[in-house]
Amino acid sequence: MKKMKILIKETFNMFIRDRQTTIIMFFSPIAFMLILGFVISGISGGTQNVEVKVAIHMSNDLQMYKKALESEAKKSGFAFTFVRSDSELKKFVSSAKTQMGISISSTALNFFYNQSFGQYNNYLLILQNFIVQTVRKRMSGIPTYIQVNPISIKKNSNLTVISFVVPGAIAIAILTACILSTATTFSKYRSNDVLKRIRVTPISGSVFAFSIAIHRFWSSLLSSYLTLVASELVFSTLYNVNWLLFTFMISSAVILSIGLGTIFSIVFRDMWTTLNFSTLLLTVMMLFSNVFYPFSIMPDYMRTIAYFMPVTYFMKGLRYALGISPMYGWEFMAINVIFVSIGSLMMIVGGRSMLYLERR
Amino acid sequence: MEKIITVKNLKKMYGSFEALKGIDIEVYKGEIFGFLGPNGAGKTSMLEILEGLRRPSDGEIHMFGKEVQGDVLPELKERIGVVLQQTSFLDHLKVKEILELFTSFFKKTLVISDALKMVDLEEKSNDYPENLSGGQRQRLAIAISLINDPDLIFLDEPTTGLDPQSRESIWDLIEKLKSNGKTIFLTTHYMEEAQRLCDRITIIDHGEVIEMGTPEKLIMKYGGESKIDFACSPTPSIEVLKGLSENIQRIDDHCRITTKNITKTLEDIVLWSKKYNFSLTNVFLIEPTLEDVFLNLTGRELRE
Repeated sequence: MKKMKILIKETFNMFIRDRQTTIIMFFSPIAFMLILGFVISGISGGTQNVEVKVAIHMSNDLQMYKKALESEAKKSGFAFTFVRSDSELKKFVSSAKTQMGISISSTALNFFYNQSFGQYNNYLLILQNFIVQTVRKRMSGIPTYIQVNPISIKKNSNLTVISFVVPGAIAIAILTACILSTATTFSKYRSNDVLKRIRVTPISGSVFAFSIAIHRFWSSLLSSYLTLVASELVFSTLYNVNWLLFTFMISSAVILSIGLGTIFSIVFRDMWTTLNFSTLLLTVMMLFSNVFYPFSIMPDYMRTIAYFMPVTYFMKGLRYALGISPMYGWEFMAINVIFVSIGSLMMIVGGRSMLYLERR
Repeated sequence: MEKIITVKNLKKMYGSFEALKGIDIEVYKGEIFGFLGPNGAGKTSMLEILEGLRRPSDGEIHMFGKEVQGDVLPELKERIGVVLQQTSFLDHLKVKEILELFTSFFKKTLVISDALKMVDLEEKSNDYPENLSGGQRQRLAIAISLINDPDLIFLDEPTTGLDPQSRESIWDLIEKLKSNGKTIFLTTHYMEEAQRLCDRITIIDHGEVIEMGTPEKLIMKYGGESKIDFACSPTPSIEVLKGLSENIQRIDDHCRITTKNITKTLEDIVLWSKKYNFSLTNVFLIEPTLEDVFLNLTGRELRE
């Protein structure tokens, strides 16, 4: 235990004195969030509540809840147009009279989007979440098929497009920082023979890798809290954060990213190849996932690719923890368990292989 | 004497290239064992196989009486210290912190101040390695190799690229380690270094052992004759010089006699100078070295 303390202490010194790494780890999420936030607010007036036209059709057996829904919507600043049938609803949406249509019956809850209103897509997702919450809250006992977890949206809060984008900024910045910094650190140690030097000592590769990774872990966690606070201060995002779930989600994503970084440094043994591949992967992950636009409005081919992107699930979990997106509890747990399992496995295998491969 | 390392018929192939062609060596407790050869002879391959950094293609290795099969076991790693040919340290750590980090890798370790004292780097303990001179960096590398108080130390060309003063201080340090009872396996292409430090040496060339033994015995056997250089005034004629010895030649302004019997030849030179009334100046004795041994064994200079 004493030896482990020394190892952690000295790797902490290495980490904290490495300005390049600390800047990436601590400040890149905040910087990324601020840049993205200001860009979004410039394009779409992101800090203002957007007026989105929504048409709703409620089946006859639910008409008694119409007033309740209207009143709930009014309180939250939404305005709905009620239509008589699903076909009328679809016409409204396809003719762009409304950006979204919602069909509510006792057996199904369907959302229809008009994709030509791309600038409202993020907002629509937030609205979708609001509807799910309201239906669950005000029509209890009827649409039992909506198995969402209780996430209440704060009344009159500034749930804006930026609120949707901030988790994306946190996710991308954390993934980038963890994958790149882990991969390049280990590749560098290989190229300057540090790994070779460690190979001739009795320490196991996974213990050494762990001692390097742990500082990426806590710094990412700290950085994500800071980013969240900064977003609330600068853009008044006012999330309904479940801190425990948020910590879980960030932790498991960091473990997965560090695992990926470790594996990349082994597969691509040269530092620049590792760096280039990691950057390419992160770019693909950013484009083909739900970081900037909701999963539901993606074209089919993008959606198929997004299914294979860890960041898609990271985003889902993160938005759930921040209270802006619905999700099943078991789904959240499954994502975390899978991230932690795969990440830990990659770290252990990667750490061992890292030193093992120094024997040629 | 206790054998620390026994290597039998060790081979190493890189593709179709045979870097080591069946090496047999034994290293005894407390000695400085030199593994000599020109660049590319297979010294580092041999050393890295013993350190566990390379896989042998064939052959047997025993270390501290245990057969090394596959990787070097952690319990053996606890007993060995390694100085690699290229010294690089972990970034952003000071000298004492690097040593502290390495203490966490081993069960039994020295006190850091003792390790620093041993390599004379106490005053540099709070410096970063990039601010140290080449010699100091090499001494730090040796301090790291000593941190687990090893019984066996591998030194791969420890003085390559160092200035003469730094080289001298590393040699003093290696001698100090030997006097502390450490067994040292040293590779070098500096014959002067091997001659000064090693108790026994093995000379390899093109992956094969060409000779082994103590430096003195090898020099006696393969070094050839000693040379005595002298100058005298007035300058003697060739005929007069031939009267002194048949093995004499004039090189610029001085004369050189090659001889097997130094004492006798020196006496002859003195008598000869008195007889012809020459005053002797600048008398030098040039004894054969391991460079000559290598030249005589291979027909090549060591650094060719």
